[in-house]
Amino acid sequence: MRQEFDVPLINRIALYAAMALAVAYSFFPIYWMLISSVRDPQVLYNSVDLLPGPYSIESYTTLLAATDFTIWFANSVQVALGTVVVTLILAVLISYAVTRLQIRGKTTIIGTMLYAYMFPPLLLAIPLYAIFVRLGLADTHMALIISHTTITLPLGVWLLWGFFKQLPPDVEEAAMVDGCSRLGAFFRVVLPLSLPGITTVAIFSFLLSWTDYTFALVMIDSDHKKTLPAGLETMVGQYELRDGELMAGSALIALPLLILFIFLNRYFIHGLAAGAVKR
Amino acid sequence: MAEVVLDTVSKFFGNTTAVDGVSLTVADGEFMVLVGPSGCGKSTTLRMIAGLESTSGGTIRIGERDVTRLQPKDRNVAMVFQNYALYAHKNVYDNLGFGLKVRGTPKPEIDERVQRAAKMLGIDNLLHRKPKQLSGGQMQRVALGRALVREPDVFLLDEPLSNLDAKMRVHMREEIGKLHAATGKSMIYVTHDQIEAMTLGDRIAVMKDGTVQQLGRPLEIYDRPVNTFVANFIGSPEMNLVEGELANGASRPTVSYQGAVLALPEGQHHRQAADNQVVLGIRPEHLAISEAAAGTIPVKVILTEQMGAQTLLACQTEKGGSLSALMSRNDTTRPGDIIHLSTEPGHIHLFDPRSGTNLFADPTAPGEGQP
Repeated sequence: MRQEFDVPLINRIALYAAMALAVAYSFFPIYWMLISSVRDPQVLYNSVDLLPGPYSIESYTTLLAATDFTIWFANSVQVALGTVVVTLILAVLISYAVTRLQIRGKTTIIGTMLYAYMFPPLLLAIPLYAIFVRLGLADTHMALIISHTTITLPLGVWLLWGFFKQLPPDVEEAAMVDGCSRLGAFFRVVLPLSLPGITTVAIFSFLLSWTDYTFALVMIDSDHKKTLPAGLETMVGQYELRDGELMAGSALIALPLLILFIFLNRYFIHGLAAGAVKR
Repeated sequence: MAEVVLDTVSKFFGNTTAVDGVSLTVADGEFMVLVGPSGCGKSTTLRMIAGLESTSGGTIRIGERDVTRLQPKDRNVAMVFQNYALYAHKNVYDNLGFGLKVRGTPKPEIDERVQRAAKMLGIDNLLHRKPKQLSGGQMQRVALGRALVREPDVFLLDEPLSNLDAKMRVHMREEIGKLHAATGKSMIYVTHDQIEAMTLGDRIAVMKDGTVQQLGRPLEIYDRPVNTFVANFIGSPEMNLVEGELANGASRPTVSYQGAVLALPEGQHHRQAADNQVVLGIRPEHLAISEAAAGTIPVKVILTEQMGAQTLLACQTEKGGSLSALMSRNDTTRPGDIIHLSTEPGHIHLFDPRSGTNLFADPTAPGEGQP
């Protein structure tokens, strides 16, 4: 009897230990980033204390005063929102079309898009840059938005495809019999019902664009057009090792994502799960 | 006036023929049931009437209008779907009012019509709930209400009860019957359930392989099936269909089945079958236990199934043929008993073994004189 009770307890302890380890492993860099960003720069290099303090917001004030951080932030917002908008419009239309309409070779379309997703960004970045130079788009945010879309669109189409497949066509048909055109049924019924899926794609696109470093480095030359990750990188050479400011900058990059996740968590999980289950 | 007329309507999906030249007239206010097994084309036919499928041939008319090429929204039909197809993001009130709102009906009128339909269906206390907070029966009521509110020319119902449990199905069947009586509108109802078809339909169209096999009043179809398919499909338990041989007895035509000679109705002409071979059809409820005599079939009871009011006997003849017979619940027959089954001449159906068509020149014959 003892054995029967003891074994699950040991299992449970092992499970919790493994979970704690995984959490520590994932969160330690974030924790370190946060406490370093609010640590007094005077002791930043003398103390490797795991506990926070002595506190100082000097890294933040220096960052905001001495760098183009606010400009980079604004650029990042612009590029990320642009990517979200372009991705959503294209992904919704493409995935709806391949789900509902009779299109020849629609699995090939989806397959090819996912294939494109498998290329490392750097491999795409260089030929894309050559194309943008020819089109006169080099060193513009538009170039960056298009580059980011090459990564976000396949993922978006894939997720929404799974999502639309789940929506029973009857609901749209009911709306069409009730008095909507196909487009009307799409806007009045399909879109509201797909909100979790659309939110998921929006978050993913924002995240990928917001944190992208490779494309930002290749596509943008001018300092005042740089996005946050590429902008922070310039600090490393320019001001030597400014770890406090770097950590503060990184914390400020992470902050919007954190807020986004807290508010949209519910949709996000639902959207992921919905896309995953086959009907 | 909203008569629905289908004129040689066809639908092909690639090389597959789903609906093959169906012609059908549903009178104004009539309750027409399309019944048949899966894949018989009944749902496709309904969807073509709704405009959700294009036709490959033929025309569809609703009232005075040719709607063959019209969009679903322009046909003024309302449809109830098998899985309810409620708008999950809207509450019951908005689900009911959606069709009116899309058409730009003024708000006070929407409110009045929604309230009236909700009261009629007993869902007026659920108006602020979301569909996922409703039971299956309630969802089906909302789906019916959504159609009702629209006050369409024609109601189309696509297997509306098949997702409900048995008890709720019977209840909603009654409700739909009452609703039809109350609105007086034409209804076209698709089902694979022959009991729903028999109980609800003013007329039934029995479909198979994209064609209408027989169109008629429920009892007409039950009493005088035009072929073995209809005979088998309509009626529960299924009609016994066995091989027999025609003969001309001394006084009247007869049919023999495994040695038993059964009399056919007198004075009625049936078409001759090749080699006198026929398929003999007798409904289980038309077989009775009788004393051993000429014209009775000796069988061994294999199994008794108690169905409540009645008991179904599964029997086997000496030569291994199977027959089922429906008896009253008081019947004391036990498995293993040897009994003799008899039937009335008027209850015998004859079919051509090759084509399956009813051999009575006037297929009304076998049904006559029945209660």
